[in-house]
Amino acid sequence: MPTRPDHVDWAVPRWWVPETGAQTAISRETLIARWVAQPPPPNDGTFRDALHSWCSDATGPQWIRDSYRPAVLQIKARRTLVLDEVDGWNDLTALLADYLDTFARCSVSFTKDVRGRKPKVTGSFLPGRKAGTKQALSEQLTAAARTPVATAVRRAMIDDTLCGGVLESRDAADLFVSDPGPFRLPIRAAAMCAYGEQLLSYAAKLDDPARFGDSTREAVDALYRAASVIEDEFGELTRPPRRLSEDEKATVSRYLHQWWPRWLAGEDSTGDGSVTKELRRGNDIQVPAYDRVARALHKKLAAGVVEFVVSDTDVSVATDEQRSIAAGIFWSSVKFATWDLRKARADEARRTKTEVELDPDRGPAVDPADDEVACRAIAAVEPAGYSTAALVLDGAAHYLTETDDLDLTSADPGYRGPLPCWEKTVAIELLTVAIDRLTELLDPDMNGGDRALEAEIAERRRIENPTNAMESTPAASGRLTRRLVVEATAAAADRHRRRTATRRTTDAINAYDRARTSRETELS
Amino acid sequence: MTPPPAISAVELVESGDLHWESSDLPAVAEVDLLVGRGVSVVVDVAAPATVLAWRIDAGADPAPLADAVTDTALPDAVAAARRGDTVRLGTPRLNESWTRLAMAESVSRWSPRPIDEGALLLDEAAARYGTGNGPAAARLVALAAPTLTDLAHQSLAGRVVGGAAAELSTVTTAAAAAVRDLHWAGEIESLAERLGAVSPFTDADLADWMSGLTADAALSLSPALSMSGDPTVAVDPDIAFDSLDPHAVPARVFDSSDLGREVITERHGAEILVTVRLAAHLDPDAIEPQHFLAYAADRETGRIRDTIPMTRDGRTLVGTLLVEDPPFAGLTFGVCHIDTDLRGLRNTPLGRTLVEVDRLMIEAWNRQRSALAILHRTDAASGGTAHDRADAESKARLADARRAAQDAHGLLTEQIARLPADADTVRGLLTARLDAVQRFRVTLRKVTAVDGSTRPLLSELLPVDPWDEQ
Repeated sequence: MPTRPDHVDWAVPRWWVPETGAQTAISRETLIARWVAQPPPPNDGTFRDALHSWCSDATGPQWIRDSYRPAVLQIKARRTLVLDEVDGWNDLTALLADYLDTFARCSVSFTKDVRGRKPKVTGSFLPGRKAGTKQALSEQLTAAARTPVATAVRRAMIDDTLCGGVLESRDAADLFVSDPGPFRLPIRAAAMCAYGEQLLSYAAKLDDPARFGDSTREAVDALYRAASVIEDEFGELTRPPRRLSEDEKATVSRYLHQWWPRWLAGEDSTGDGSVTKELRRGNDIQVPAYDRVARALHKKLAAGVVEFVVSDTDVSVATDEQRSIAAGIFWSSVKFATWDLRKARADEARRTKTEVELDPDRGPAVDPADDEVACRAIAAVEPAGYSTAALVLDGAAHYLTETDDLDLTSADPGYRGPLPCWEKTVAIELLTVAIDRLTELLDPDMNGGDRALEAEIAERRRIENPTNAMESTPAASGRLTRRLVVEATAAAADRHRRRTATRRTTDAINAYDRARTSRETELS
Repeated sequence: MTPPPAISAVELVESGDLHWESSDLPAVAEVDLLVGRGVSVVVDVAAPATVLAWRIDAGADPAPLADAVTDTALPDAVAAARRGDTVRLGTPRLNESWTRLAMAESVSRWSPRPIDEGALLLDEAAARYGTGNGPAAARLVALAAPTLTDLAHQSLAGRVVGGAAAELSTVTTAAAAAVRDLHWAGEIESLAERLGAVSPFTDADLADWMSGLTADAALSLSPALSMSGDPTVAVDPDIAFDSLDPHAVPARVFDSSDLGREVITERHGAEILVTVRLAAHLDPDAIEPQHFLAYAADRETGRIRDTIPMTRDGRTLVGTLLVEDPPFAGLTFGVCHIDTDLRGLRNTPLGRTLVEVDRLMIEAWNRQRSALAILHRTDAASGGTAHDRADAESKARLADARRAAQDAHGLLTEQIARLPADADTVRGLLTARLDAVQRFRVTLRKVTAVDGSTRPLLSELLPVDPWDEQ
């Protein structure tokens, strides 16, 4: 018998019964949920998922099937099925307490460890719809640390003797439970490498200038950097499939050109007669099958599974084994293409004639140029704010010039002094000729940039002592001027935006209020 | 009874662009969709198939719009309007593919409840693929590939069940098709094939799935649903609470568990400290605090008195405002995204009430969506206690939705009655809004059968964990 860890001393037969209102019947889902809720931590979904996965893995080895037969039967039942099998649940309790609890705690500790290596989502990591996309990206890096890493850790603990080989034999399992210490370093390395590989694989997808332009550059660099740190520390990472060059794709086409007729003639056949019959019906199958074969060969080439030998007249694959891989791809592709065609015909028959459908053969309804627009909509331009983009600044100065002083949102509606007011002229000056000084003062790295700008304007008012100031004190003038700059840049950035119903309503309310205020002022 | 479709004239503006606008206003909120180069439509999130407005830039091809609304006569009408003829058109309806995309964009822009943003990218990818925009779909699949892999593995291990598992399978099939020409397509294709065989849905699965959904709801939905009156009233005269205007900030960034009191303001002499908490599920590094402005405005006139870019302190954003002259009680405070036109901020008494109306309507829509999510697929199996529970839970959400919409209706009616006699434009707009709210309330009588394009999104069916700093 293995030595059970102290923390599962509560795991006695029928332990769940008092908690379920004296019900012995329970589902594996609920039993494990209650297990997870017991002290000590972790008490979360990650631990629950790990226990379920370890349960599934435990049904394989013969020694477990022999020693914990009732438990294995319970695991094989649907996990949400409520069963009144006290012996089975007691046996599962024993299996969990003896081994799986320890294994799951161990594997979970590493998945958490790995998240410490998550690259930070900072700066313009990726432009997006305000906060949404960045949050989405942060979630990607967390997701990559979840099931792929958990699976890799379990595989390492099961398959690699350095990591315990824990399901190999009862001795191996007992050794691990009695002292997991010596196995921790190799398991940690396996976890880290799995995460590094996920980062590389994600980077390879985003590293695609044709699709993303420069927008993913920073993200891709951050991902490669994080992966290379992991690689330096924990050992070599397996590279994801690479993108093929045009030359390589041409080689695949030449190979297909040569071999297609030979396969059709029955060479290297896998012996599926029904498929050959379908093939004679013509291009309905051959065209989609050709696409499938080409794509499959691209993938095999990228993954290094097949290698082409090119001469002036001939293209072949390096070995006979590769030749049968290629033929196997051909025959299975034909089979899939046949199924697809049958399914399409059945769908077609089911569809009512009046229904309007996108024609899959017509190609994309949006041409690549339109797609560029859609792309911009996704990777929306960063909000302008204090942007010094010439367009916005030009629009901002224009907004101030064109808007009556009293109609400005920041203005004091009771002001009756000379127009334009001093603060507005200073704001226009800042947005045009004094733009360098403005950006310098508003530099986000400078602490209190906004207040520094206000102070400078207040000082200037003290010196100039204007008669057309809207505000009564220099400090208030400084604040008003800065507010006008903020208001103007936001308005300029907004200038091409459609007026929503909400905005039209707000504008109507403001217009009414302004009209009323000015009437009242005139009356008094 | 459906009211007759609104008919409006197409307007030819100076630049040569064409605008068409329905006389109907949105009940909840608007979302813009680009249907082709220089062609866009606007829909109400509460009825994403119904076009409220469209625009065609001068010289843009109207064909994408004609396709999206299945109207072969549209190009001729556009040509006539461009010549300067008077053209009057009824309200167009988007086809199923475009409605699905409108649905995804609606949730993205407006859904207040925590959402798996990665899954939402996958929803958008599938929807864009549906509209024929493969390249945009492929981009989104690339961005969300780790989520797709993780969800697929969880689903294969039985941890994503029911409606979510079925929708995941649908979305993955579209994703695989969208990336079929890319070098990493095999990875997604094999996931799609393995997810293709979705296990049948049982009562026990439903119960399990619901427990996740209910926990999520407890986290995100506040009991103070129909809170009205003045939210700024506080016991301590140096502390004030204000609402966030959903039109001024992106959705799901800030904690809204204390509805109507998200903006907390404390006075320390002339300095006023404005604080907002980040939403529990948000990675604090995923937002740029300086992209948000804290502001103070005059409570009566709405005049902006001070603004300041915010900074982050742990899980809160803070900004220190300086306002000397008007007393603290005469001010209202808020937070807006930096690209908000300050003229659009709503700080007058009427403006603030309209913010409350919008929030109630968004909440009503949110609860209607979550009632649909709960019912999604439950009709496939027969009876059972879990189905009864789902039915009861769904009805409770719908009752919440009705109450929120009713409160919004009440607030609007009251405001219209109080308007000065000569406020004609404002009265017209508020009355049109009231009509839209009333039309939406009719749809809340019962959970109607979900049609294909407005069925719950994958992201609406998945529970979301709070952000884990670890």
